[in-house]
Amino acid sequence: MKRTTNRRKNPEYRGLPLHELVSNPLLAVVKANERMAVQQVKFLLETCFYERHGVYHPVLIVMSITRGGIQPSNGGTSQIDPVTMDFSVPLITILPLNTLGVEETTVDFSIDVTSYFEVEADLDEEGRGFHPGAATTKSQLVGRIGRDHELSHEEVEEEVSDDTNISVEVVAVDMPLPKGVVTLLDAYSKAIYPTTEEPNSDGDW
Amino acid sequence: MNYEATVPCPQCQTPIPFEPRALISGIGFSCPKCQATIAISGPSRAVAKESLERLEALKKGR
Repeated sequence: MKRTTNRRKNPEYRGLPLHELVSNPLLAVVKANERMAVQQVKFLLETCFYERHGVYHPVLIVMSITRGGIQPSNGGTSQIDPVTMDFSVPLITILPLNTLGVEETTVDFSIDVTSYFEVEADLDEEGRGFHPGAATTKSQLVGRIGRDHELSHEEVEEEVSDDTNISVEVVAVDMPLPKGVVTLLDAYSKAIYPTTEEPNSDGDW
Repeated sequence: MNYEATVPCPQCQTPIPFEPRALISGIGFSCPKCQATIAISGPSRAVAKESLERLEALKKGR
């Protein structure tokens, strides 16, 4: 058995689903974050790695390191000359990677409560469903979004459709990289060594 | 200058701070401990530059 009591201040106002007004912007933010994450993973896999036989290998770039090396001379004196060696680093270690994501979302609107519903329903003891003989009252607020409180009924109808007022403020920031990517970068960084040449059997470099 | 990134010095493992865009444009950065200078070799510079441009375009939503 279900009975509805409708105490409307103004029957011409339309009801607004409040939970959707709040949850839809939040769901949009979650989707936006998801899309940004997917794009960044796609970028990493396409740019910083290459795939061979189902295995992703890092794209390496060649860097050089220049340092002063003591060079012996025939005259018994030595001199310091710049010595350059090459070494390879994964491209991912030098790109300024970070995670772009939505850090803060503000949903703001004002609502005029235009009607108040009391739904008297028969629920079972735990409130999960209808059960004869156990009457419980549920209430529901319905309102409209808008600024002008002094409109005639005709104007109100127009305002509900044309001048609804809800603001969603989204703040996107560069956030720290996910832990997995940081671990990957750390592992790569620790594996950077110069490629030095060994002297031959005569002791010459 | 506020450096964000570091790469370990291949010589002494001391972190060498660098600015990615400057590094990719060809500027060398010195190790604060052993004074060794690192730079990107010429052929790899184009690869790094193209990747950086793609990353920046991605961040701008293009």
